[in-house]
Amino acid sequence: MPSPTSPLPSPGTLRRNQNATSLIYDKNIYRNNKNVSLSSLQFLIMEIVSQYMKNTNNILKIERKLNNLGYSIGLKYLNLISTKNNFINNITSNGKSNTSHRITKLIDFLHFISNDIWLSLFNKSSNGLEKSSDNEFQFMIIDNNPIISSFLSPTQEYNSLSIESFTAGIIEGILDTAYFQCEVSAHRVPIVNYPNKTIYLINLKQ
Amino acid sequence: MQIYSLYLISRSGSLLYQRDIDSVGSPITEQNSNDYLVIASNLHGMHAIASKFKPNLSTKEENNFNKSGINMNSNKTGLRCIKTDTFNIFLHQTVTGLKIILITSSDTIESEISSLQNEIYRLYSDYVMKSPFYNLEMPIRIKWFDEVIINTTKKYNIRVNINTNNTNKISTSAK
Repeated sequence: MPSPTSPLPSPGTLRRNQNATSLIYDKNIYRNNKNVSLSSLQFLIMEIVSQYMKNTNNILKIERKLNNLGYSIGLKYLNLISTKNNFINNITSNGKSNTSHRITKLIDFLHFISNDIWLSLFNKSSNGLEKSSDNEFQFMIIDNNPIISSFLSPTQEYNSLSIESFTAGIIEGILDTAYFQCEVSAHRVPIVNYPNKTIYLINLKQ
Repeated sequence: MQIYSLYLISRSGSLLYQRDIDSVGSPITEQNSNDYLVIASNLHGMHAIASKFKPNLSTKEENNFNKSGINMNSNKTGLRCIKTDTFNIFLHQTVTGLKIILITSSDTIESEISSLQNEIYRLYSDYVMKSPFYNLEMPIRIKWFDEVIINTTKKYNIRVNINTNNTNKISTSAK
């Protein structure tokens, strides 16, 4: 008979702990309610940017840091989105998908980024995917109103700073794990009604 | 209704933002920057004094609380409006102490003003508070904030003009 101060947890607590951890696996991986507060995300990005600005005044360095931050997200995010997407397409097969596939063609993959990944990251599709006319290894994803930087107005001092380098980093990470080596940079191209129109320039390594 | 001018004053009474809005028949002339500070601190002081004014009542009546627990005779909102023949000044203090002051023409609709003030407060918390380049209590110099402020106030100027045109039409048809 175990003493009251036994170091071993009683079977009851074990079961309870097990329940708590297994709950997350019991949930459907494709949850309908996956909303995150946009404000808290924007405040987080704002705070990251202002922390970087404390350390350096060099715009290129800040953009590089934001890009690196997004890159490590992109590396991991492709796994999650592939799992989810294959699951959605094969709900009847208990999640063990038999038609799951990996996109290996570049154009298909870019379409996948500009639609599916944009949809899961920002809850909308991007506003366009274009191929550069003078360089066959250059592609552009266009977003008229990028969500995470939609209120982060540039100032005169930091006019060329593009906070969307963060998103560019995510794209770069995703493309890199999919074996398309590239560099992605974000450029703000303000037009009428869309002061924050951003072009993500994808430079593939030949 | 025309909106002539907008002031934002921080809770400590310093002028954060001042903008004259391009509107029809505006009597506002450009002042030097020092005068704007004087106007802002005067309004701030007047608001503080006005919030101390209240009717002199017996203690029994003074404890006359309404359902929400707010003393009916208190004057928590302070100075809300100054009306003259040629212009009106509307002051609105948000819960965080930011003052939104609008100088408008004298033919204003108060519900429109309060919805505009709420909209300006929303724009302030989106475009100013979320800017990584802005330090608290400093003057606001944010390009997109300028643009959205101009757009929203213009929208109000135009919208209410259409309303007044409609009422004119109705009155002429009635004749």
